[in-house]
Amino acid sequence: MNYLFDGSFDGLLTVAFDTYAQRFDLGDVRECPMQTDLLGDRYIATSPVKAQRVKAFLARQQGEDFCIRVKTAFLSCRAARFSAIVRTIHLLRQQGSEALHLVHEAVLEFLACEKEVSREQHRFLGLLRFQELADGTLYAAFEPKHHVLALVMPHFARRFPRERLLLVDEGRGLAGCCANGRVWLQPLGKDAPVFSAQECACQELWRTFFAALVIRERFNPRLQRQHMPKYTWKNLPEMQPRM
Amino acid sequence: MELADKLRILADAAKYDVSCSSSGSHRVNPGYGMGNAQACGICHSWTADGRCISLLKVLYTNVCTYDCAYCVNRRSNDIERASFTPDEVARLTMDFYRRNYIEGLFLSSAVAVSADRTMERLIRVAEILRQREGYFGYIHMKAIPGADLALVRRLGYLVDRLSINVEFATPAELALLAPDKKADSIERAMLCVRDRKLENLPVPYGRGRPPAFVPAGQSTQMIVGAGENAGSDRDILLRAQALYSQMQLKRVFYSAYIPVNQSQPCPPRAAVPLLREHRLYQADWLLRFYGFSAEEMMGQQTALDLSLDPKTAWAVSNYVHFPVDVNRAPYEALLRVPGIGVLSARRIIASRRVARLHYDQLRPLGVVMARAKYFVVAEGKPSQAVPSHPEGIYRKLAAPANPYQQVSFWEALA
Repeated sequence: MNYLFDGSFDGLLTVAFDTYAQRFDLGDVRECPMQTDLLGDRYIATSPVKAQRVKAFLARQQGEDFCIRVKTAFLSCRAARFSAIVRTIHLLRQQGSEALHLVHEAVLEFLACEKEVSREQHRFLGLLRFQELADGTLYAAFEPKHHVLALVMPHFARRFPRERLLLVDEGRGLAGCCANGRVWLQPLGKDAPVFSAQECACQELWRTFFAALVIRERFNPRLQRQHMPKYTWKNLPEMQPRM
Repeated sequence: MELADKLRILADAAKYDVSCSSSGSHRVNPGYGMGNAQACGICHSWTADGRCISLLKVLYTNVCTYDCAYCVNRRSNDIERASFTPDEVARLTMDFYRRNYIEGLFLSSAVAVSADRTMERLIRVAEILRQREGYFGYIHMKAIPGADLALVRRLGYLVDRLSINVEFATPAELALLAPDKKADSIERAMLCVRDRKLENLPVPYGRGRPPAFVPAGQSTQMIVGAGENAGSDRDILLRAQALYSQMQLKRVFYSAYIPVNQSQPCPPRAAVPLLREHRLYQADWLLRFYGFSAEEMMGQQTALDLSLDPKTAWAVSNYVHFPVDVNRAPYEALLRVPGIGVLSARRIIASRRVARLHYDQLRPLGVVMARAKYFVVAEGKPSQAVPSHPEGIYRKLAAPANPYQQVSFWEALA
């Protein structure tokens, strides 16, 4: 049997709660906007109470931080992420806390999801580039593979407490805002950003610096791409041609 | 001179300094000003040669009174010279930091006028950033050996990391290639930083915290293979080991010599293969995280084996300790298996508490079986697969062609 849910984190935990009895016959777990039972699929409605019980169980067994790890894996774009999380929770419920160290397909997939997401999150802590808008807001556009927008925002909010930040996930059409100590997500507006007068000069200085650092004897573009994959170049001023 | 020109010249002059790490310091932003320091370190970009850029790495000035044989910026070279002002460096740092181009500043300098005068300029930059600009991000600065130790201490309270380059593994090399630098003044400055850092460690149950002094620790750099009588790998690793244990350094960086000057006693033909530098870094990791000593790794040899990584080389020549049973061996023994790292050793230990490990389960746990298969046993290990005598293993593992070897232009044509 496949299970459908509304795509929310609480929804996924509700699936884990409701399907425990059927854990040996668990098919795929998918996100679905329509609340309909199709052939062989069952839609599970989100229940905050059940989700809370799963969270409490995970926190009790694995420690308070574990829920954050599950949420990190949840933000992955890997196809098997939902069922891996549900199966891992079932295993933890059934076999106890040591199940997380099992060499089990679902656990390994869960850990792989978590690792990929946190790796990309860390990558964008460095690769995000702010541009100053005319009103002084710092604007950064990026296109992450995994849904890391909400994960990177607290870092920048802490680092720049006095700035207004606008982080834009272009692929998902979402904007993350930080201002006055508050952090929130909103759908992306339609207006094109207007940059400040100094912005261009500052980017040019950065390109000058970037170009000066290359040691020609050691030219190795493959290594560069390994660390800084091509899908990130679009939003990096140093990878744009110099003026 | 335009700011862009200064930046071009002084970034170019600083690029041969290896260190670009921004880790080891944890400073929380108090809710005003700008910036914080992340203990894990963050890389922000990568140059076309694949090295990471995490810091705005520039020289304050490249006007130098010294004449070191290996250095681009030496007095006798005819190159473009430039100097920043403290305000310019602070402005650049703030502008770049605010746009998330960099994790902080790495400021070094040629010795202009005198060591003390140069140090005062560096201190001025740090003061402007910390006090006037309200900057809480990472700062790494070079202490200039020979400067008054009071200045070194003052700088230490402003920055995250201080580094003093020992430059060479042996004092003889230093005397030959950098006649203006004195080994004892380098050592005195390092000791000074070490001792003040120890005095400023937070005391358990103490009241309050002492002001942070060089919280990200001290580092240094050695140039590998410059000149005829350059130190061997053995000299270099023994020196690094001594620096870690006696000077309590956080990092030692190695820099394969790049011939930038056309003169004796550093002949220009003597470019050092990057692979040697790579092997030294691997050996350095074994020193710091894997419980190896330099003597163990080198055995009777003076040079590291270029065709095998140092851990595999050690395992092959000390095959009496192998194969290791992954279901029984203690953590320390697992760490010494080629193909098993810190993380996979921990995962093996956690996993075998639940159930006995099967041979096929090692790869999913992160073990590199291409190397490890010769050195481990586990449930269900296929018996026919591998040679189990050191010569056979060496032949299997030694790199046939050397992927890191630099091919010179003329060789490639021939």
